[in-house]
Amino acid sequence: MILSLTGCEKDDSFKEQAGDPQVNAIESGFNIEYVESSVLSKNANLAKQLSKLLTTPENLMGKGGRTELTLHTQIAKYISTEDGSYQSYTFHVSNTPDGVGLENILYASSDGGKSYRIYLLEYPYTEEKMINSFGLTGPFDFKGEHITYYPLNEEAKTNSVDCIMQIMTQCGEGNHNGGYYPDGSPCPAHEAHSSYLDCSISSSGGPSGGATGPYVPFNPSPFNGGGTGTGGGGNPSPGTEATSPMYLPMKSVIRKLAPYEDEAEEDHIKQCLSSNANMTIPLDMFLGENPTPEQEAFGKEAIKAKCENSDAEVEFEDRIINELVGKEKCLDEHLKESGNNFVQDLLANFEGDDSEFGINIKSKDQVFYTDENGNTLEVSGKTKFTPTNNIIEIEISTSKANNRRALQVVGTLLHEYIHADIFRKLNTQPPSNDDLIFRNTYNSFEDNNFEPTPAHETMASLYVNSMKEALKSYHMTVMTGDYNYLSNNGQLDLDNFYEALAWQGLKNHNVEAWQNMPQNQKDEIDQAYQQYIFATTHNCPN
Amino acid sequence: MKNCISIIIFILFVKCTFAQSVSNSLFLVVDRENDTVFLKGKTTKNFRYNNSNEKMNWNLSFYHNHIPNSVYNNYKYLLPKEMIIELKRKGNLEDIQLFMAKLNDFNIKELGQFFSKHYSYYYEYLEKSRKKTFKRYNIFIVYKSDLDKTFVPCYEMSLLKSRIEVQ
Repeated sequence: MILSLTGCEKDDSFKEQAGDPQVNAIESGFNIEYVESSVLSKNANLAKQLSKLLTTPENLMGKGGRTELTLHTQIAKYISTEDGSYQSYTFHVSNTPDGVGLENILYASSDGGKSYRIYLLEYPYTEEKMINSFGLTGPFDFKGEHITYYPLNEEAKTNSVDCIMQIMTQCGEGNHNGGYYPDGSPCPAHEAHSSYLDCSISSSGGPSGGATGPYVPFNPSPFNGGGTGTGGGGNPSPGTEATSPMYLPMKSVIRKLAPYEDEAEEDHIKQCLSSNANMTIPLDMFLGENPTPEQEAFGKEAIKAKCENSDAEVEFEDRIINELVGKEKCLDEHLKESGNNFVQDLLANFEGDDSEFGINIKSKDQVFYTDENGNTLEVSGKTKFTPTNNIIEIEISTSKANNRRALQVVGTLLHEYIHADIFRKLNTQPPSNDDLIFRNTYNSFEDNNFEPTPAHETMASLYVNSMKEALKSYHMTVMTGDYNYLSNNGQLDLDNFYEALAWQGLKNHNVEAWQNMPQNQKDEIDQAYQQYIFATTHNCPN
Repeated sequence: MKNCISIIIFILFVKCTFAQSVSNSLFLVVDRENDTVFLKGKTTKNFRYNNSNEKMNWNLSFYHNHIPNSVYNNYKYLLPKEMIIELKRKGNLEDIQLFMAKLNDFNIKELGQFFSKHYSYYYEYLEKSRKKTFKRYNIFIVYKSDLDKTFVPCYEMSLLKSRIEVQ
């Protein structure tokens, strides 16, 4: 629901704007966007009030017969004026009673966020009907319908508004376009130039500020203690307030992800989305209007991951599903945020609309691998490419990580991310000339018929130096105390140690690059590893 | 006499044309209704076909690539329909899924050996006056929908084998 009281100039452009209150709302000075919980939590006052509501759910109960409501705070629709004086956050609510339409929790402030009035809003349509009628972003037209407001805090108590919304389209010369006066009569051709949404209070609230009939500007009194009418002309009012329904467009996502392998897959996706409703809006935005097959595949993978593990973090733009936990999660976060840019640059290749591949990195208690001879081995990490959905899955062993030094675990993460990058380069369509050269290098190792995999040979010949530099930078910037201790405050050169870490998981495979290295150099690297590794910390730095 | 010479020349021409169909070539028919071909863009200049064998832990990818000025570009042949019929008669042309099923029990090393032994050759080229080589395969993909065309497009494929990687 939007309220937009805007004085418009008499112009033919009215014709184009007519019936698009979302546009009008924006043009009239309202910014509308979605904000995630990480942003919400920075608004201390709002976070405090939200927390209060969540910890005292009885505030939500008993409103119109509601006995069990769930408030979703992971994402909100944020509407504000340019100067920030007005701001509102609208949250989705689920578990509404049968037969009740979409419900939202609205936090609205007219003093720049110092205080909020809180309402439970009930819209006249179900979520499904909203999607069918208005799509994801509207415009929303509730003309002739009832929207119920249940005040949830002291500030909002003064007026419970049970209103009938009307879209007041432009009254411009030569352009009737369904425009109405607040009293419901059509715009005369010569009349004033307003473009706004309005609603009437059906129970109380007579005309104010010049409004005719029972109509007053939308939701005036909670702000102004009496309302400020716009009169027939509909000039902007200081009591103007805007909100807009917040719903989770599950149906839209389901439609975009079709076709499904079978009914069972579709049902599974629906079920997963229902239990992870907060991901639907970011997912819907990620998919856009015409998702690529790769976007669809990543979307499905993300939904399934959230279904199996509600703690999974999905970065749609980065194409990464992160299900790491504990120590490896902590070390991985530092790896992406600190040190040199090796990992950031590597992962940047997976970002963007044109990206073909996604990464799903996860912790597992133990990770096993069965070789071609049927021997099963426990390993620190493994990386697998699934061509059917272009997802590169990385598994990191939690039990191994917990028992190993932090730098060893960082080495494993780097190793597996490089495998992911190699899979990407091998499978990118269409390849660049560099990709083709890379594939030829990879294939040349296959031709040599060495025992190590071509990927390990390629990593050994092309990536070891980058890994060494990344490990060195990580140690110096993230594990500063450990680095200072080990290097005697930078007095000792640890380059051989970092190189040794980079060779872990490669030299034991007898890769060609290691075999060809002079023996004295190999000895120095091995010696540095034995000398320093046991003096480094197990722990992830805070 | 003139007619006789013409007939001899014609026979030689036909023989030479068919000689281009080397015996170690493989033409795999893809039905885009049932087989998944990863096609980027609307042209057939770049596409890939994947086959995964979870039991033996390998992925096999066939690529057809054509990008400007690359030495690694793949050929695209336009073979007369009659030649395709002849290839089929000789057993060089078969359905891709049936062919893949024959590979099911190979481990990755046997898979590599199989393709090298039967279908590979080394292609020589010059780069800055230096002779270089890379491995190519006489493996082509043919779309089922193209089989009735007068000249059937045959896409040379590059091979990549990969597997689950561990540390």
